[in-house]
Amino acid sequence: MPDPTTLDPAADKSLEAQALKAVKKPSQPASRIYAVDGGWRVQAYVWKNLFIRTHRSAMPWFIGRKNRWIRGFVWWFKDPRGWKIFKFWSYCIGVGVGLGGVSQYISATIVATAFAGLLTALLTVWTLLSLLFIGILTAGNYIYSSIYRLSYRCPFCFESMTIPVFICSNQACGTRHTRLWPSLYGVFHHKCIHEVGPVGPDGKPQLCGTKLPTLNFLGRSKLERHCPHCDMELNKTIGVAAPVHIAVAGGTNAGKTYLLVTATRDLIQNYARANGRDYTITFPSDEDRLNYEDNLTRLTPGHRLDQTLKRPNAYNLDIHAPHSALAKRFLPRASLSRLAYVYDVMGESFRTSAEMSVQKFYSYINALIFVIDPFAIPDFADKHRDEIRQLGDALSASKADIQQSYERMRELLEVSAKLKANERTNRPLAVVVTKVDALGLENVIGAPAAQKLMVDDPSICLEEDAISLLVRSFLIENGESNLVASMESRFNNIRYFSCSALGGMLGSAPETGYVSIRSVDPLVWTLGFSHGVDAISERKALADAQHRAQGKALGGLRSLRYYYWNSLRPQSLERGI
Amino acid sequence: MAVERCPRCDRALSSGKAVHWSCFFRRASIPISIAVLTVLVVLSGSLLVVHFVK
Repeated sequence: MPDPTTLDPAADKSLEAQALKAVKKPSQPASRIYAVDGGWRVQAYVWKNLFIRTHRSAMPWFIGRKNRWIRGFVWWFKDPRGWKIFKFWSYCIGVGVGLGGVSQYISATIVATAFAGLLTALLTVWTLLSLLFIGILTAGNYIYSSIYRLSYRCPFCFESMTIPVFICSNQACGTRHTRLWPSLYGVFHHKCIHEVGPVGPDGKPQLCGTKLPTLNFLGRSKLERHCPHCDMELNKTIGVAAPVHIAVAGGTNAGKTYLLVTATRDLIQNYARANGRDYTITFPSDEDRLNYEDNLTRLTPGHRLDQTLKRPNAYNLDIHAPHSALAKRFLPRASLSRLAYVYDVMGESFRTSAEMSVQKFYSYINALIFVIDPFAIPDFADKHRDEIRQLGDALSASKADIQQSYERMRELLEVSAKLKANERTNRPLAVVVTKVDALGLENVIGAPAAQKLMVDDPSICLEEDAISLLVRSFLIENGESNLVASMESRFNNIRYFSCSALGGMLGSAPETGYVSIRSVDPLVWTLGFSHGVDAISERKALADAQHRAQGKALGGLRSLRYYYWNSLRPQSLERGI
Repeated sequence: MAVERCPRCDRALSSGKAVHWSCFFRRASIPISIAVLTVLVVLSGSLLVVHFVK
C-alpha cells in the first residue's frame, strides 16, 4: 500500500475511491442499504485514514523549521548580531508553531472521532431498524401466506418456487431480480443498479436506478414475473390469490377437454351470477383466455377440439369471491381471490411411467376429477353394441381401459403425495360419467331418474345426492364394482356425477349452440371442497330447507326429531337402489 | 369399504358416528341456547326463592 503521507492528490483520490467503492459484486442487481454497506465502508475509511491524514496535515508545523523560508526567518532572529527582543520572539514563534501542530492533532481527532462516533451510532440504529423491519415484514408475509395458503406454482412446468424472478419495470433495463423481498438490498424496495448506458465522461456507467417494491401490497404484484425453472412468464395473480389445484384425468377420448371447456363456460356465464351469487371469474392469463375462446369458437359449429398436448396443460381461473362492505372494511383481505389451476391431463400421458413423472403437480393437487366414458365400460358397450356401431364416429367412444387409467392416476397420486399403502386421502374425487345424452343414459343416471329416486326414497333430499347414488349403482351394475371399491377404499370424499359436455352428438350442433348438461357440477363440487367457491354453504342451506320442509310434513314433535336428528344420520353410499 | 357421509355438508364421516356433530350443533344451536338459558333462569330463580324464603 502506498504511503499516504507521500501521495500526490491524484493518487490520494484513487485511494479514496478504492476505499469507498463496493468491495465485491453484489449477488443481486441492486444496491445494498447504505446502513449495511456504504455507511460502514465510509466508517472504516475514516478510522483507517484519520490519523494518517491528520499527521500529514499537521506535520508541516513541526517540520516547518526545516522549511527554507522559516529556517531563514529563524536564522535571522537567532543571529547574535540581532536584537535580543527578536530572539525572544523567535522562541515564541517556535512554541506557537508547535502548539498549532498539537492543536490541529487534537481538534482533528476530536472532530473526526465525534463524526465517527455519530456515524457509528446512526448506522447501528439504522441497521437495527432495517433488520427489525425486514424481520417484521418477512414474518408477516410468511404468516399471511400460510393463513391463505399462498404459494407460487408454475402452470407450465408445475414446479413450485419460493419466489418468481421479477423483471425490472424499466423498459430499457429489464434485469432479472431473483430475490425481490425485504432484505439487505432494501426493506421496502430494491434499487436496480443494472448498467443501462455507456460509461459517461465522469468514468461511471449509467445505472438504471428504478425502485422495485419488495412486497405485493407495495406494488410488486404489478411487475412482470417469470418462472425460475422454465422461464415462462407467469400471470400476475399467481402468488397473490389462494391457489386451488384440480386435475382432470381419464382415458383418451373420455371427453375431458370438452367437459372442461363447457364447465368453464358454464362456471363463468351461469354459475357465477345465478341464485344471488356474485362471483367474478376471469382468466388472468391472456393466452388461457384466447385458448378458451378459440375452443368455444370451434365448438359452436360442432368442430372437434384438439386433443390435449403431450404435456399436461394447466389453465388458471381467477375467482373473486363476494363479500359485504363490512367484511371488506374490517377484514381487508376477506375478499382475497382464489386462483384455480385446472390441469387437463392427456389420456395418453398415463401410458408410460416416464410420462407419468412429468405430472408432478399431483404432489400438491387439492382435488381430482376422473372422467369415464360410459362407452368404454365393456359390459355397457356389449349391451349396446349395435346402437354404438350405428352412431359411429359421432360418439367418439373411448377405447381406454378405465380401471387401468384409474390405477395409474392412483399410483401417481400415491407416489407424488407420498401416500402409504392403503392410506386413505381426504382429497375429493369426482367420478364423472360423461356423454349421458346418448342412448337415453340421461333417463338412467340423469335428472329424470334422480327425481324418480327422490320420490321413491324421501330421505334423499338433493338431486345431486340421488345422481351420485344412481351413477355408482350404474357402474356396479355394468361390471365396474372393482373400480368403485378401489376408489372408495382410497378416497374419503368421493362423489359420482353424470353429465354431457355438449348435450348432444358432435357435428349436430343446434342453431342455439350446444347446451351442456350438468357439466359444471363436478368442477363446482371440487372447487367447493377446496374452498374455491362457497358451494358447501349453499348445500347446507339447501339441505336445511329441504329437511325442514320434510320434517314439517311429519308434524308435531316428530318434525323436530326428524329435523334435528334423523335427517342428520349419516348416509352410506352402499344403500340399495 | 363403506363410505358414510353427512347428508347436510357432504363430508365423509368415520363409521359408527350417530350424526355429524358439527352440523348437529349448527342446526340445533338455537334450541340448545334456549334450553341452556331456561335451565339457568330456573336455577337462579330457585336459588333466589330458597334464599328469601329461608
